Amino acid sequence: MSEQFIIAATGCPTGVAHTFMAAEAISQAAEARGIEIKVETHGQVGVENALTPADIERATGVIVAADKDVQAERFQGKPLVDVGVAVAIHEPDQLIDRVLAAAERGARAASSAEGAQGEDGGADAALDHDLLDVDSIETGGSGARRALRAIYKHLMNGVSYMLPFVVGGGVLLAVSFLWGIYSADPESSEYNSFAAALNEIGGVGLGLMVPILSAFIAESVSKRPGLVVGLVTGMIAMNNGTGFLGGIVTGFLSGYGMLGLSKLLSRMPSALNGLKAIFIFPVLGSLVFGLVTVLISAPMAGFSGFLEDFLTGFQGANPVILGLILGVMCAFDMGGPLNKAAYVTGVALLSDGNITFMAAVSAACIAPPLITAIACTLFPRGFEPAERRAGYVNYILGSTHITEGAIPFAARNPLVVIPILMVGSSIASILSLLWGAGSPAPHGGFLVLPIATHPFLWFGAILIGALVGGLLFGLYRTRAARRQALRAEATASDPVPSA
Amino acid sequence: MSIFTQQSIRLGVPARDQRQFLQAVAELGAEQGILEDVPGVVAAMLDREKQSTTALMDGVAIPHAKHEAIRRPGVLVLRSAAPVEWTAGESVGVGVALLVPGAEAGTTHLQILSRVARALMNKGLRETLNGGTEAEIHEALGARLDA
Repeated sequence: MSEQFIIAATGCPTGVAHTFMAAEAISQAAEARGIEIKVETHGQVGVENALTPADIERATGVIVAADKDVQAERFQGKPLVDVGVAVAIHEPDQLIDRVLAAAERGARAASSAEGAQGEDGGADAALDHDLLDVDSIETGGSGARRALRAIYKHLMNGVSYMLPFVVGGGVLLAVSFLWGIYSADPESSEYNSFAAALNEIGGVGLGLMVPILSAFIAESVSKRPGLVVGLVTGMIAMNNGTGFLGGIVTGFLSGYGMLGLSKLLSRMPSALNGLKAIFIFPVLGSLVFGLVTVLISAPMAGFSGFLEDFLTGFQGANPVILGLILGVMCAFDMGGPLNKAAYVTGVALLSDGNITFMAAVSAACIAPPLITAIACTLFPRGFEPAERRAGYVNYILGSTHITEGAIPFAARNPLVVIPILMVGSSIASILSLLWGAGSPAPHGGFLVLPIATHPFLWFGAILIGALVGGLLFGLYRTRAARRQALRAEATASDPVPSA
Repeated sequence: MSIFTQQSIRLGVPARDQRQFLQAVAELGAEQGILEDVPGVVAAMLDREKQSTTALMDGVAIPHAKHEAIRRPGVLVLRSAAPVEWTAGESVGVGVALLVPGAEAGTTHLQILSRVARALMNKGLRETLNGGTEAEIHEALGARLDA
């Protein structure tokens, strides 16, 4: 690794004092370690000691310590630590530690991604394999907007850590069904020990999804103390069948809960800090928020049970109505309680010999990731490079029945995107029912086509639903991107007022 | 007129809480002819504190305000007889106040104020502020303002 060169940008709303104290603190901490540093200040007098493109290019790590916008988008692709200005003043040393660690992760990711990367270059991948580029999500601004962006960033942090588990586990689970639906059941004639192993590996990977989501939402909010409690509560939520939404709830509960707890305990003598980290936080935090999770997971899981009964009652209903219900449910929370209620009902009905219901559920679950993949393919201009990469992966995720692949796209603007996904899922599900497609496998996506009834019709139903949804989603994103570009132009011609 | 003289320092201020401390800041400012509207400037400083505390480490705070009634830029150092509770859990013994005229267009004074802020990151200076005499404080802080 070449010589370290850290760059930083500091800024506070008044731009008189904290901006410069943060700059001084960061400079002193870096110089004390003999690390080269350049700090740009966004004060009331304007930008001083400005970072040049050459500085940014050469930097091995970036610190943003600001409570206002310091144009952090310049640093995209760089190992970056983004904190409030107060953190830099009070803990400059830890901040240097963090940026060095980020730089090291970035260097490792870059070297392992070298060669594998195409024209996009290694810069994006340098962000420690962060598929969704969470670090570049800005949390500047003020008031409610700032709070919402922070919440979005925490959520995306969780999703970004969760997705590899979904993919690894989901694909292996799906592959195991190639040996037959009951290949993991020692009682069955289809039993195959390798398929059973795949099934177990895949199941465990997929099962870690909710705890990991919860843990890394909490980690994003309150770092290590949050991670511990978030993982524990996420595991409880999963064991109690609360699904993806349960993981989100426990993640934020643990993250903000631990933040509150550390505030409460901040008056403790600092001599007890070690005890706090290793004993008090994990014990007290797990106890308090574990209990809360136990209390709230019963009603959350009860809701899922209620939906299951409700759906079973519909199995003989008009295919259009049933397909619509299944499509809306599966696309609503993509792997959450509503989606899983539909899925579990499908599996339960399989044992009654109803294979068309399962095929309709699978169609509705496969459609959302395919919708995003098709939208990224047909309308590349509407999506950012990182999104496009995630979008192309969704061809695989969709084909293997991993609805969760669509989550990052939906999380960005759920009120518009989820209805679009619902439309596509409903079409796929309705057509699958109308054309009498059947699937005897509870999972596996297109891998189970060889054992499906009317496989071509089933595939066609899903394709049509995904195409309609993909067109809608792509058009929406292209329009949104165009509008954003216009806005950016308008503000660029306006001189930016200093705080 | 220099923005920081030995007369800009007042030790043993009998303030009991943050408001009284800021009141003393504004009164000293009025005495020095830096500002006119004492209640207005106090309110401005309180507003700023509400956004986020200006207290740093070692009991030093840097209350500041930009206000129409401030005639010229000034740096004031006040040390209370006993530390006051600044915000919950934070006690402050020394305030290095930065006063900025509302109509100020130039940037020289802003640079001086940012120099104060940078200077306060020095532990030795904070120790002088907490324990030194008026002359020592004037010399230590003044040297960094002129730098």
